[in-house]
Amino acid sequence: MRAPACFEDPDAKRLIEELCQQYRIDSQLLVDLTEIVQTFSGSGRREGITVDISSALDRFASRQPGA
Amino acid sequence: MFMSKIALANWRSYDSAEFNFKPPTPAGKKPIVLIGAMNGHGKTSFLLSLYLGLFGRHGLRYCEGFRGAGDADTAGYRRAIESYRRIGADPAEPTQVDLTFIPTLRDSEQQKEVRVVRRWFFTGSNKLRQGEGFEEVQVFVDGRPLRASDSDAAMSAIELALFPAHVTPAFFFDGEQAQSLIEKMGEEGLRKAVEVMFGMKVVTELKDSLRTYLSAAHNRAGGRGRSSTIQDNLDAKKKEREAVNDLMGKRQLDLSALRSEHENMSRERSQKMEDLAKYGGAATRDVGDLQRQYGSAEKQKESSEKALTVALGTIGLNLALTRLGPAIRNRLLAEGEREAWEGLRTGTLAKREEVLAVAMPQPSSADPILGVLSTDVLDKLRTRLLSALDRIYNPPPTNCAEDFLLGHIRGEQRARVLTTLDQLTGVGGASIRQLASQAKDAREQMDDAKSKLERIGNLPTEVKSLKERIEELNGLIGTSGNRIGQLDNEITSLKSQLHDLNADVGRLQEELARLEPEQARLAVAERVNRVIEALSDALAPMTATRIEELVTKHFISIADERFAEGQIELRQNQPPAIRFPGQNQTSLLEVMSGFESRAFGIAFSLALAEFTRQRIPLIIDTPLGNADSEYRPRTLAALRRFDLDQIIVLTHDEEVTERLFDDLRPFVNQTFLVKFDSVEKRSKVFPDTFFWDPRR
Repeated sequence: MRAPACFEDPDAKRLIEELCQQYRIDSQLLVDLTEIVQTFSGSGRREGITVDISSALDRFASRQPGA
Repeated sequence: MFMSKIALANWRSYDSAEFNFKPPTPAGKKPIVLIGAMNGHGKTSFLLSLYLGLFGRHGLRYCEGFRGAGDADTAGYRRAIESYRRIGADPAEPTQVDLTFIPTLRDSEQQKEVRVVRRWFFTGSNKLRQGEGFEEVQVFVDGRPLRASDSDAAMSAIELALFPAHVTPAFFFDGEQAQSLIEKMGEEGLRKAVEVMFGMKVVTELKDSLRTYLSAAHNRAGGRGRSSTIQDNLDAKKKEREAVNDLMGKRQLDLSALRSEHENMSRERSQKMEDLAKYGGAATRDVGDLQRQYGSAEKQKESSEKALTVALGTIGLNLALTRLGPAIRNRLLAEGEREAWEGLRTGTLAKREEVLAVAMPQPSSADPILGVLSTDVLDKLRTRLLSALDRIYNPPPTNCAEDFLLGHIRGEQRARVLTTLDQLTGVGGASIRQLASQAKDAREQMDDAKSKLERIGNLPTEVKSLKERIEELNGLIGTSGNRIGQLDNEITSLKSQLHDLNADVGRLQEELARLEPEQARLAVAERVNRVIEALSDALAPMTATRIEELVTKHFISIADERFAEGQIELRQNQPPAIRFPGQNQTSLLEVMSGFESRAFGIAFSLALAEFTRQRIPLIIDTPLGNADSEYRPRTLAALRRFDLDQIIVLTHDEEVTERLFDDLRPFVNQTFLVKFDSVEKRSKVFPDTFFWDPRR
């Protein structure tokens, strides 16, 4: 699954990088989360999305301990 | 991405036809695919098969005659499918659209090959089957079938693998439809398309999902404020503990200093008392003690003498009967002798001046005996006479007692005692001796205290100073002792408080530790939420600006020079307009000529593709329409320059004329010619063929 186009647009990408730096997260976490949302989007199914979001957050925490 | 194949069965004028498209050239310089067909030979059928083949009922709204149909319009959908079925089709054969899209090297790695096969089943009278069984859809991703429980699930899978249904008219459209894009702009249709294609819809969905997640996570963690409340409480307890620790430290220092001072004062007092004792002759006595000692000894002496007198008086019989009776009698007699001797001696001495005056009358010069003597001789004579007088009763007689053991019994009293002794044969000698000894001791003690008192009374002022300092030290030591007690109590209380605070801090830390994993996720999720909110706020204006710039760029490349300086404006809930420099008013594109509106639609599609970086094939039915001879080459030039893997142009012979075809030829990857066979009543597909020989 591809990342949203706005994650590849130069201006938007720059903005995302700035925001990620400001709020001490990485853009990979945003990509992971958008992928989760896209997976569940339109399916009408919501169960499991919380677990997936938690896992993405945990993966980020393991990538950047103490972040 | 390019469409590699579309196979149609019993679809409108096609009974069974396939378009097999070549992969794009490696350099991407030949994106154009030309499909030529005269009016009514199969161009629109081709386009409609894309909408309905991919998205079923969700694509119906983009089909001519059904625009505006809703997803729930099942009757309209059934009616459409029945109307799109090839007349004369074998009832046993379903109507089928089979589409395959393949990613190219220029697509992202995540892009997969997607094949969608949709079939509609009919009854013997060529009516759609009743119920949900009239339609079947299969989705294959990289050759593997996806499990889709129903058509809606299949739709989601297709949208996920390819693109959302509602952006389809921006990529698959006919010329007239491009014109209708302008009308749709006012209804936010294309704005939504932009948002979806650019990923803003995903960002919005992520924002909503995060809100839901945060709300649920906060609830699980005991409410939004719980962790912060615990942290606040913990911070407050730690602060309080620190304050108590500080206070206790200060109090312990105070206590230590006070104890040291207390010990110093105690040592000083001991030293002063020792000094005082040295002056007073006793270790720790002071004047008061001596006075009390003196008084006590005096009373003891009086009581002992009284008791001895009474004892001698009342138990004389017993005394006489004891073996000590004679000794006491002798003692009384000896003391009587001494009393008599002392009386005589004292009397003689008292009269010696008188005797001397008789013996040596004054003035001596008038005395016939003494008058002849010199003064020196007179003095020697006086001394000799006094010495002689003194020798009268010295030494005392041998039977005289050396001192007075029973000195209080004198004169007639002694005589009565002797008489009584003489009358009695025995006496309680031990008792008498004891009483006599006590009386003697008391007298000695009294004399000792009296002596010391006299000495103290004569001591220098240092004693007074010592006493005052001792008194002062006594007060200070008492005060410091009280303060030490208070401090001890205060420190004990502080220790108790500290114990309680340590327990509270530990409990709160345990609570936080239990919440820690969830708290860590919450903290990150809150930060992501802020990023997404900020991104969402920033993306909308950024998107509007960028899309306006790109639409303007592509529109100007197609439109004539009158629009060269124009700037397209896309405002929410307003139809698109163009603004020229120096003009306050904008011109609405919807009121311009037909092809200018169509050019805007094409420009918008190109801008959308460029902005969103979606490499979806562009499929345009009759893009040139009523364009004049100048618009046509510009429009085709804009298309061929555009960086896509595949641009399929459906055209009749008056659109892409022979001259235009020659101009376009270097950019054409493939041609097809579709012809309707009026005898067989079906459209036939001829690859690598066109209205004009494509190989020349």
